[in-house]
Amino acid sequence: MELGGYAGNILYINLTDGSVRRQPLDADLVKKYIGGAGINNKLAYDLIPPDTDPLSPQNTIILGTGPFNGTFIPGASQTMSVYKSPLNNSFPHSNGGGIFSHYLKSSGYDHLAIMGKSGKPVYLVIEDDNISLRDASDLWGMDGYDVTDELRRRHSPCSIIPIGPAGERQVAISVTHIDKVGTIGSGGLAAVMGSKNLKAIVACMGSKTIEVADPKRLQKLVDEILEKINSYHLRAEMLQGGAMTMTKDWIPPGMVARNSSELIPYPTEAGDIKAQIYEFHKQNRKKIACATCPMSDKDRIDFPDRGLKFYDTAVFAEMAIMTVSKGLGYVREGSPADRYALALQYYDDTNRYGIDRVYSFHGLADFVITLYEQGIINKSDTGGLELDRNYETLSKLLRMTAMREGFGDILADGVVHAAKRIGKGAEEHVQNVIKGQFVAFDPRMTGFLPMHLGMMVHPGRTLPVSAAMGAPSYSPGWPIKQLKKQAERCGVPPDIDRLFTEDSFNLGRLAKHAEDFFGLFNMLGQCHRLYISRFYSLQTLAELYSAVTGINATAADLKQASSSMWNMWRLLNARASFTSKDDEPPEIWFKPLKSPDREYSLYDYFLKRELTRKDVDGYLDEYYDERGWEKEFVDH
Amino acid sequence: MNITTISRDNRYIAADSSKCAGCLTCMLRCSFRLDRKFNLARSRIIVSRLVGAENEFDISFTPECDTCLICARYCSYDALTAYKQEKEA
Repeated sequence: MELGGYAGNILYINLTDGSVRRQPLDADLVKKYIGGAGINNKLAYDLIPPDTDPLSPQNTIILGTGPFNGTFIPGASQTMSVYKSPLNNSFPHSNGGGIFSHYLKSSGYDHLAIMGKSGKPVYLVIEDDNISLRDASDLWGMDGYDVTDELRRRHSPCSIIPIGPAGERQVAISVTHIDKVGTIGSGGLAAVMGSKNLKAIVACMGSKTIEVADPKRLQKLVDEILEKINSYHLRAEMLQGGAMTMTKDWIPPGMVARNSSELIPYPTEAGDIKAQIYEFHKQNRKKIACATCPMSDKDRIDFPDRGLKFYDTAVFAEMAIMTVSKGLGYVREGSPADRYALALQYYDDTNRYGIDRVYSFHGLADFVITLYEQGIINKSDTGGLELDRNYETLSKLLRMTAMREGFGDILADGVVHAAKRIGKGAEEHVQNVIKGQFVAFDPRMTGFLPMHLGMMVHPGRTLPVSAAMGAPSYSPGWPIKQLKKQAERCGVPPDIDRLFTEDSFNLGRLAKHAEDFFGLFNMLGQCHRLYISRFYSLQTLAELYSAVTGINATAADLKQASSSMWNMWRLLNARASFTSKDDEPPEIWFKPLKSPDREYSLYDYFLKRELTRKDVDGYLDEYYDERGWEKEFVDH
Repeated sequence: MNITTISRDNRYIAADSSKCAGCLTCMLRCSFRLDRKFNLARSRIIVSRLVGAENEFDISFTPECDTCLICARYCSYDALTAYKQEKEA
């Protein structure tokens, strides 16, 4: 196409009859929706009727790249997905790294739309103009990592999005990954693939060219960004420690457990164990980077003396010490290396099965263990399994859920379904859950952050959590001066009275603008993790976009396009019967979280004022107002 | 450690594939330097994943590589090192 940055085609694959159709990417579509999550929205709107059964052939898996993928812009690695979720019937956005986006575009495609259902297990291979559906009978049953290895043997150089046993069994709390490094599809993308008998999507390295409008300008802009990255004070340490570097000095006061009613403190030695694990992590880490990423936040951890190698390792330092907590996954004894190996084994199992640990399984395991402790369920409900908070029980529950074995079948479709099937009043105990997924990072522990508003409003988790506002979204109490500086980077003038006062800010309104900035990353194909997105401002994105595409867009133009993307996302979900009622905060946020030495109540961002339900409703109203959304949605 | 070297005239590149993180930047830089466009298949440096080796990579150079050193200049992981030998007077 005449615009730079795009491969130029949308590829439609109908698994029912095996037909393939290439549609040139329309310039008007691109100018309006940019790409990635923007064009994905439009495709979902056109292709998936809102009342579609998510596990029926009518559901369509839409994967998209943006104009930055395929170039050397640092962090231009993401593949974005949308589909109708079997977990909650929403249209969740999700994105993942690896090298899939670059390989897909090297074959000439910006977006994929996969519909229908194959009569037998198949996998899709995309290699330039050769699009093939191949027999996957011999791959069905393999876990997500083993099948990746097998497909690499057959098709390298390639990038792979596979499913494991959970996806094959259409487990609604499933997720999958790209190239064993980046998860994608929280909300059951893997189940949708499974329902279509689609074992994997393989993008081979193709021979097509991505042209850019102004190569000289692009090179200059990228060199400037690299200069900033190379002089970043944490980069040297991050190259050793990966993403764990960011949280190595932080340990939360405890693990939220017992159905989000208690905080179970970490033992006093947790800090020492964590420090030792971090050193071990650094020494045994093989760096892996997504395409064009100079920060290498992906890794493989080797335990040479035990013959173990693990991927998707502990991004957060406290995950590495999970076995010291009596909250969930407890192990009585073990060296720091033993504990780290067990934690990684659990993550490895989770990823091989293809289960969403963060937003579903962790909370779900705690939910049923709590019901068991309270005597609401017993061994007769669990098929004889005694439920406690030990590691072995957690591992067993994981396997049973992924394989839909016995009691696991009850858990496989998420907490809302599980509670319904358990009965005995279990539904009354569904707490800290929004739109069928658990709230990670309980706001009573952190203070109410912009990302919590994102979790309330938007289905799916990754985009709204990341989109809140960079670093200040993840930790409370930043000085207002710093927040204003962040806001300026995100293209929000700090002198707007309705957003900022001298010593505070309007959380609901500011969240809208922060989302608009970070939404652009998902439209352009950029990684929005904070240690790479921190090097970009709205102005930089606009300059890069103009240099790549040749469309002379201002920062304001891009922000407006992103705002439209969020509106269209809202529209998609409103058509699927979501209303403002679904955005309400969980009641448990307004009850104290109890720990042995104190209680944690919900406080504001600055941790100065306790919040009531009315306050949070106020944030929501202001957010809607800033977006220009009616509280009760009307499709105009 | 698996070091590959390539040299031409007075320029050398040493590639230590054990340090490669697989980010493809070198390939993108190489093709961009040739055509001011991006095409992985046109790159004269090839980073390929070693099959069955758990995300280890192999680095090789095509016969057309003219050791312009751009790949080494932009490698973020010290997998590629450039040397220039001063010509004797």
